Amino acid sequence: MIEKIRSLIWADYLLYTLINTRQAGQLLNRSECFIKSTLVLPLIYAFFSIISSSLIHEQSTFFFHKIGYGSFFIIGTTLLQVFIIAMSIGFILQLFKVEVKLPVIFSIINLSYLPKLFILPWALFWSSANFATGPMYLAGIILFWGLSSITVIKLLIHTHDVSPLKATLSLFLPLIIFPVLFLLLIYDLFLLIINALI
Amino acid sequence: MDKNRQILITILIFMTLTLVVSIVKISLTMTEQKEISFNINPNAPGVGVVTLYGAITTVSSNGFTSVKGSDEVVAQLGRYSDDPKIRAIVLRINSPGGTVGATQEIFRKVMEIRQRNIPVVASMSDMAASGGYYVASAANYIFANQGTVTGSIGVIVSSPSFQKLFEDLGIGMNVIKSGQYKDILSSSREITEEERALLQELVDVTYTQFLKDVSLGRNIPISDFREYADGRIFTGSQALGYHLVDEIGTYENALAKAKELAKLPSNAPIYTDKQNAIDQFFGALNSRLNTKLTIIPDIETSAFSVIEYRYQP
Repeated sequence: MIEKIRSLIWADYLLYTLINTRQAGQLLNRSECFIKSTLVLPLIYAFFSIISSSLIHEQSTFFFHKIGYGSFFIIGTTLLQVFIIAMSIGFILQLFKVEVKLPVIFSIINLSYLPKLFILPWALFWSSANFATGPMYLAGIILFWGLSSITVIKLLIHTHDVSPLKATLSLFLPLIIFPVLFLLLIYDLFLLIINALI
Repeated sequence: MDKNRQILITILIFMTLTLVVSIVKISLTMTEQKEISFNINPNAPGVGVVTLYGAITTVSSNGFTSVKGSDEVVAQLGRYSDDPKIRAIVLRINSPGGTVGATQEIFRKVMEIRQRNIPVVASMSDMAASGGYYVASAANYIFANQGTVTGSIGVIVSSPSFQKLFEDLGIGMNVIKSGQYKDILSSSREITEEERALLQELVDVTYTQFLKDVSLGRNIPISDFREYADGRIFTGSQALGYHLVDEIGTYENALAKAKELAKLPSNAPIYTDKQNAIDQFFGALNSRLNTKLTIIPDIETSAFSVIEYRYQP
């Protein structure tokens, strides 16, 4: 583990994710399972999101509870988010008859949290400038979410040899499909209950 | 170490510094520990707050202000008194008074609530004069700030006279009336002595109602405050000396007193009528505009002359 850290290979992954997704994709395809190492990014993001959102307005001493046991909750939901996004991308890519490398997809999703980490300096800057902290924070969330989405799409293109359209659809289609499936499920349950009652 | 790795390490150091600075910044601007109580039971017994802001009239002003008409105030008092979780009510007043009927309706409702053994505590803000004091007098206990403008116990009716202006402009009014006094207080002519006597009688009767109701609400004889009830205004401190308020205290003190009278614990919840987001937005906007416009004198533009329990500086 310590040797891995000293080798600074992880630095290549992170830097290429930001500036050269083609090379990052090649590294991901070559490497063994990289999920565990990259998992640190969503964990850091969860912590950063608490700090950055706390910069918007004055905090009480409850802030220390937030960054204490509160962070466990945020970390849990972030990991769940990673799992759902990775699984849904894998599902859609399979529908497109693409050979899915699920560990790589998990690594991609983890790495996509890297641009989102910049929300903290962004929030700190606007908070220190005391200029429209709330709206600028919201703008930052949208901006870094966009950059994160672009990172996912680019890495999918380079790791799975899919077209940009398919990569984009695999990320965004679940947002449409799953709510529809959920509504259909609710509708079925509703019919079941009605039939049972009548 | 190659250049790319150096860049990334620099970014990571920058991020770490940002994290440290952010935590330090949050800690430095941190306020004191707020009392955080998680009210698990939504029906926990507590205190209801009713606000009475601005001139008292029957109907609410527009939807962009927090000024409620007597209909709305009475309805809210009714909802609270029928709600088993509301054990006491705080009436927050910042009003120069208003029309007689609207004021008396609120007064009667508060008295009715008192008779149902629900304690009502009045909390005066900047002003609770005339009709504002009339309503407050119905409460079991009255708090005023030291500098609250209160008193102004009296009745007023006024109307402008444009007779000379009309004469100068050559304007005349054609009035066909069923009785001698049908156009009493008409702006187009001077008031007659008979009309003045009639109106004075009306004002006196209404004034007597004011005195009786204050006496009833405060449970003190009229003679105790009759000499101060000549329309004069006084501060909260003076009102305490005249026994027209019970204590000098803030809104927080009023809430604590209400809990004490209702034998509620100090952490009992406070219930208020929640505004929706749009109301809050326009309320804030209106408040901003009012702050900017307070240098402009308040000009009474009402086309009607009404008898009021109102302090009109």
